[in-house]
Amino acid sequence: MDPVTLGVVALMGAVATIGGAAEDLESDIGSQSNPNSQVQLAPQMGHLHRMINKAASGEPVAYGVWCGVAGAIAYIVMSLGMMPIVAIAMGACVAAFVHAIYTVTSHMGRIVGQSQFEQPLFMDVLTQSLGPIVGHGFITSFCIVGISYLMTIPLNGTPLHVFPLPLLAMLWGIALGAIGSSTGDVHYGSESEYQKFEFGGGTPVAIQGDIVTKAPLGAKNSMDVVNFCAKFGGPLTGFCFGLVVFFSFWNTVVFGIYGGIIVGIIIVVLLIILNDRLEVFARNKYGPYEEE
Amino acid sequence: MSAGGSADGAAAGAINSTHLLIMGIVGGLLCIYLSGFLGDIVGPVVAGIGAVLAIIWGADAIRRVASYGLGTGVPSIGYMSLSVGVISSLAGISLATLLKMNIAGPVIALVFAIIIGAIIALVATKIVGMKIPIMLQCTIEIAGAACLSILAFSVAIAGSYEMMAVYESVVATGYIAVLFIMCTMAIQHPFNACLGPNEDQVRTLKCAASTAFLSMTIVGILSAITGGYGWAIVLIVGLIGWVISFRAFVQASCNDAASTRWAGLWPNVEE
Repeated sequence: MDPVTLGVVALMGAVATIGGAAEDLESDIGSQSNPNSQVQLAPQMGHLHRMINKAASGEPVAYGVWCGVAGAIAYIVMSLGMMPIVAIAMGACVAAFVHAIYTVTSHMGRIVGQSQFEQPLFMDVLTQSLGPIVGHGFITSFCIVGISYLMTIPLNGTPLHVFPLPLLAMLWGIALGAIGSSTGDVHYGSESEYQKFEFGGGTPVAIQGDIVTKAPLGAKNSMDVVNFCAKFGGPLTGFCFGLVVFFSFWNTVVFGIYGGIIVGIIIVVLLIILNDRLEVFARNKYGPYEEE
Repeated sequence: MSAGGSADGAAAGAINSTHLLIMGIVGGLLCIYLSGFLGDIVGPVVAGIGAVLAIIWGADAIRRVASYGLGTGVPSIGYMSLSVGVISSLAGISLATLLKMNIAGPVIALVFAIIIGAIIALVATKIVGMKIPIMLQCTIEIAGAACLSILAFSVAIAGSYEMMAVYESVVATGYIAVLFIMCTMAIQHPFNACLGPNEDQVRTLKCAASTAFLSMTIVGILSAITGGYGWAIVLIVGLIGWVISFRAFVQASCNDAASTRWAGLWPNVEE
């Protein structure tokens, strides 16, 4: 076991946790997660709203693009001789611009696509949400390109991964998007958007778009959603992604290649048992979901 | 009504899709070939414009197939077709190198894309059982557009469509992955962003032009080391094209919106 490599792996886990949390919150502001994204159906259901509707594809593709672009720019700036941390920041900066442009086109396009239902295009909604969306996106791309860079530097002669930086950044971006879309989606603001329906019933297709559009004071907006999600959904996503990154490398660093594979299998088996116990406990305690 | 678009099936548009198809294939291929003769400065720009034409064609094909109510399948078909694009473009120029006739590379790549696209579409319609009448034609078109856009951007970065140059500058550096995901986004995003009962072909294509020129701008930065002095011109032409098309899209959106407001609540509408 090499303590320096282990330290780098721990750092990667910590950075990934921050990036994962920021990713989930960004997608919550933008109503990107499904069925959060079904806010697009609200005007058809008779609910005009002041929410952001930023469905720039699913999260995996979107984060593949932001992180891939950030990684490629960082790679080229580093080849020009710039310090890595500055290069990564520059890459994340360019990715943030790309992110902003895609956000504007998807929000405007989706709202205008609903114009027959008299849904107005609120420009102030777009401008006030753009900063938080792009800011969270910047943090995420910075973190992802950062961990990808840590994978490519040779520690004690061998890097953790042999792929070039742009490819790694894109792959980890897709992985993060997938985790943000699955883990983050267990707690993503739909509890608040669909609060008039009985808790525990999920969000069936029939009620999608039937959202609450008013807050205690004035109109409900996307900032309310992210305030709600920042307490649990965001940190949980970050924690999950941090563990994924950490356990991807920790076992091989500590136990070597073959020992690492065995430990990896043991971890997967333990997680399966843990999940099973948790679900059995929850079903016994709260009972099956009953149709009314 | 489906979230995936107009419920009346095939989407009609102001611009004939056959014209866009010809523009994509002929324009894309012509720009790739021309870039080889035009040297380090103008060549990459012409290749970048070829990619823009191919992306606009692909976005229109996505629009036609997704109008059948694909919904969340819009990004999926983009993803799938772009993977065909990567495989076919690399396979095409590799085969041309093996056969020692580099000049045929882009055409072989396009033929590969058409064949693989057709097989995928046949699997989707005959085995999976998707009932979309224009699935075969549109999947072939999207795969072709994907292949040409990736190849054209690779040529802009590498400065040539020969396998070794593309391998050294695009594949070994990992840019191929970025091109794959960036072109996926550029091709599938316009319709995915604009979908809804009031989607309009011209507005969607303005969005497609803006995403394509944005990708071209990024490619300009990526070719800073390998692409000779042409990289700055690719960047500038991409930026100018992006400003024009983005402005056109925003203006069209503001004009077509039910109303554009900077403050306040929504109007009272009878439910």
